[in-house]
Amino acid sequence: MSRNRDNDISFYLMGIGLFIFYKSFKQIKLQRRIQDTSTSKIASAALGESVEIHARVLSAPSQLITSPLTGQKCVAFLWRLEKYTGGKNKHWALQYRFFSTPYIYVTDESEALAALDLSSCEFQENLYGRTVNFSDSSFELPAEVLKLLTDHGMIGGEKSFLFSSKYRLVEKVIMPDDSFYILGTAGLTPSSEKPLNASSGLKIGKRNMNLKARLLAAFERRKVDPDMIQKYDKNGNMKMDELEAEAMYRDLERSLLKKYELSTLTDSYLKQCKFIFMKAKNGGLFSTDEVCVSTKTQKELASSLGFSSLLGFFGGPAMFVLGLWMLMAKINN
Amino acid sequence: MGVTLAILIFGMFMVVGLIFFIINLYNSLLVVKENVNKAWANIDVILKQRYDEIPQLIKICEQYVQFEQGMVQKIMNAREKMIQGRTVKEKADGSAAVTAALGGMVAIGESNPELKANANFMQIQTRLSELEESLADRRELYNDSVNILNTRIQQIPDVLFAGMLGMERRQMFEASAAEKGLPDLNIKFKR
Repeated sequence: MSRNRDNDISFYLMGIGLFIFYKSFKQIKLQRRIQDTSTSKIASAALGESVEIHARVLSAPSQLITSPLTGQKCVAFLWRLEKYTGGKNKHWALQYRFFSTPYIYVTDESEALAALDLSSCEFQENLYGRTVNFSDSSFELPAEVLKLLTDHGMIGGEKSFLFSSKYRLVEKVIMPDDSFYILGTAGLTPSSEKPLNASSGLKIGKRNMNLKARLLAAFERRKVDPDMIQKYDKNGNMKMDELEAEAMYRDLERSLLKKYELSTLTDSYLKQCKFIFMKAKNGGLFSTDEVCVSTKTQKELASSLGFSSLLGFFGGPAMFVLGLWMLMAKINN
Repeated sequence: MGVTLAILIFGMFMVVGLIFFIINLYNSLLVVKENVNKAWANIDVILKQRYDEIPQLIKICEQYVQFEQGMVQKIMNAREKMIQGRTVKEKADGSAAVTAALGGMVAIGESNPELKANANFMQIQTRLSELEESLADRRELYNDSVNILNTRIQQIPDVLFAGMLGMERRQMFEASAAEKGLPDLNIKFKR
């Protein structure tokens, strides 16, 4: 038992060592890119790869929303819903990523606007936020958040007090006038602020490909719910007809985060945008396709990346060798 | 596992790292070089847009004002010089000449009430003014990129690869004295 655990530790060390070593390459490359790119002004920046700007987050006071967990008046909040996977390989696995709005808007000294696709962003530092642990058999979450998650089939399902699942919800907030260093690919601004699903302000990250399936599951449950049948039965035949079911599905989607829906003013921001920062295509093994966003200045970010890449460059191999040494020692014994 | 083997494995990592570092250095120098080319191409786009707008401005102005003989020709010559320039200096000189000549034409327009009230004139004037601003911004970006390149190719170890890639110092796009100063408004015209 103990021998197995030691082997596990040595494999972990070797794996983490390799990962850190690989990550240090990515950091070196990003650091170089940051140092080699000149800062543009939004008004005159040309579309394409490696566009760098210094900008602040723009929001009209009426656009601010209250984040559910941190209770901050913010421009947008980002959620990561993670599920604890037990067994041998225990870890927090990402289930869903949520964005209260698909885009945020930034401006600089040229007073022009640019949009930032939140699902394409890689924040270099931790934004202000809060993490809440909960399980689907207890109710540690604020009631409205829990209701939102369960209503839409994202947690729960087959509830059991004996075998409940552990979750954690990480909320990060973007405040008005937050100052960001942004480096990424600038593309044409889309014609409308259209999230992937429904007309709510919810943007579903790329990893949430199975959300549709979850929504469908919630839909199927509701379709046989007598209360729902009664609510949507327009022709009084006590059945859920196709059109009635469609209306219910639409409502189900729309109700998601409805209270955080954007008003039309944000659309007018989109129309004024010179470009949108979006994910790059096929950046390569050591490249970062995401838009690099940092609260630091260009110089600070480059030097912190330089320092951490140096640590990883030597620390990673050292960890690997230590893991290998432990493994060999166990085998020899 | 012996200490020798541990050092050997660690050394292998370092060799891999060193190879990556050299490849990255080489590639990043290419990126820096391309950044300068890209920044230059972006300036060219603005110059071309300005080139296209000038005839329209002249056409509108001529409906209201009969310019002094040679003035329009002067603008058109400067315009041609700007677009046909090959080197940074030729382009910069051409651009400066256009800016100076246009300054005169816009001043005439603004002193003519009928022309000033013309919506098309106002629109083109605004457009040219925006292009001037974009040009100034992109010139700044180009000069920044040139500065990065000029610095990199002199640093160690980049200097070793810069020679291999045939990279040389690039010239800055400097604003001319005419662009830095106020345009000459003292242009005669006939009514």
